[in-house]
Amino acid sequence: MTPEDSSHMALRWSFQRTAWFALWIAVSLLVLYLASGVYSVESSEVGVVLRFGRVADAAVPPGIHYALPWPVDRVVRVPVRNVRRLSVDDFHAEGVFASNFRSLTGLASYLVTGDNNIVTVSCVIQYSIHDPAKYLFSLTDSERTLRSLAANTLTHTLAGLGIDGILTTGKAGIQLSVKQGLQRRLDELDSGLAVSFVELQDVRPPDQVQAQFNDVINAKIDKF
Amino acid sequence: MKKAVIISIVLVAVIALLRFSLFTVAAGEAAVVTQFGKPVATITEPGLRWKLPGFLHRVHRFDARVELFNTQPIQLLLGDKNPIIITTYVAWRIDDPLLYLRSLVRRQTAQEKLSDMVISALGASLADYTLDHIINAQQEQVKIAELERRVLDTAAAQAREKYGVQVVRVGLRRLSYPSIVADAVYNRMRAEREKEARKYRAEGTEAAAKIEAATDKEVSEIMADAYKQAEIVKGQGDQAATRIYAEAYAKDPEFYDFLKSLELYQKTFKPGTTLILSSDSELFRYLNSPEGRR
Repeated sequence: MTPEDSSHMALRWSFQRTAWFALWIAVSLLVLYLASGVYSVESSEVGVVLRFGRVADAAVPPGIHYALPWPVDRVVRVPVRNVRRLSVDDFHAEGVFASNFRSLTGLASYLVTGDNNIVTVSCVIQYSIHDPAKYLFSLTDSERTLRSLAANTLTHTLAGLGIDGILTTGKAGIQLSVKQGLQRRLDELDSGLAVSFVELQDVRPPDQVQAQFNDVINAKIDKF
Repeated sequence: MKKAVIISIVLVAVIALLRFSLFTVAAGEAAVVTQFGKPVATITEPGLRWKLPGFLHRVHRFDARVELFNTQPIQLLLGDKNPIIITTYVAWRIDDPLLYLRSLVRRQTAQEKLSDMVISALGASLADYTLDHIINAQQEQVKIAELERRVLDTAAAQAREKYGVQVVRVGLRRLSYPSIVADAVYNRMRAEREKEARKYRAEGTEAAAKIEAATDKEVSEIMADAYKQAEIVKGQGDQAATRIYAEAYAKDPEFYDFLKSLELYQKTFKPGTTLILSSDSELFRYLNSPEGRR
């Protein structure tokens, strides 16, 4: 054995070792890569699997699942169990949106009733995600849309009612018709949202005429 | 050895090629592929797509989901010359990405242009409606939905043609009055309520007067009735007394006289009473002689 031979052998051996090492790394990277497709969906969520951008599975139930790793599949988790709450204060004297409107126009915020009176209202809406795929891919901003549609529905509903009904016995009826009207509008836009609850709060005549409305109540009491 | 190197190089090249020529269009997206600025493909369905690698083909992606914005509040005139301040919302999406790309509008400018279209369509349509069509206590007379539909149709046709944009929905978000009209409404509301309060008070006063009159009547009736009954009872009592006296006298006139006189004495003579009378007086008849001789 010449010294060249022995050095050659050593080189060869070290090269082989490097090759094995590289292969080992490559295999473990591959395994890690494939394993990265394991994902979990929490109990309050639903998963939506996108394969190359197309919806492959619109409703993955909670649990451990496997999807093809990046860049093939992408999983989006949507919290469907969360009941969200939106306060529509556009028509209330102290609302954020009302003060925006005031700074824009200098006008007070209110709703106009069918018999041409003015009332202020604030409205609370509870909603949740009903169809995750529609929710993700139909609207750029669900909450903004919901707020506008709710304002639209309230304007519509009160434009067809007299003030006495609105202030006294009509509240439940208005809530129902706002809920139905809002749901219909949301469905037209494929929002994937479901309205579970609508409540009118603080329905009253504007401050300018509050004293006279109170006096009517006093007069009724005086009568008896 | 060499083989491994070649395989690696080919693999890298293939991956690079794939990386630069494959692309995905996701759900809710649209894309246009251009070759040196010239559009060669429009993609509205999501999925995996091919293109020439690198700078040869460029991909322009758009968010094709429905976007919503509010128009600025604007004062418009109704057909009956009533001024009204309307705020609307406009829901729109990119429908024809190629036309949208060519029209060179971007989201901000697109919204401004859509807003102008909607407001001008609204102004034109409002001339055919009166305030009674916008607000009416008869629900079925309210024509807001019809108005919204008309504005939508007008604006949608223009937007589609010019910008490749679909207007999905237009809605009235807020109705307001100019402050002078609002003040008039407040005054009318005040007047109506004052009238109502007066009505309730008047009704109250009227009811009170009625109740008072009815009570007075009842009182006098009861009084009259009671007087009548009292008179009857008194009459009966007198009658009975007369009869009893008569009967008593008939039984024994002498004893009757005697008792009557005793009764009189009892009434007249109190302790310390002094009477000065003739001894012949009738009064002393039974004091002088027990037999009552005259």
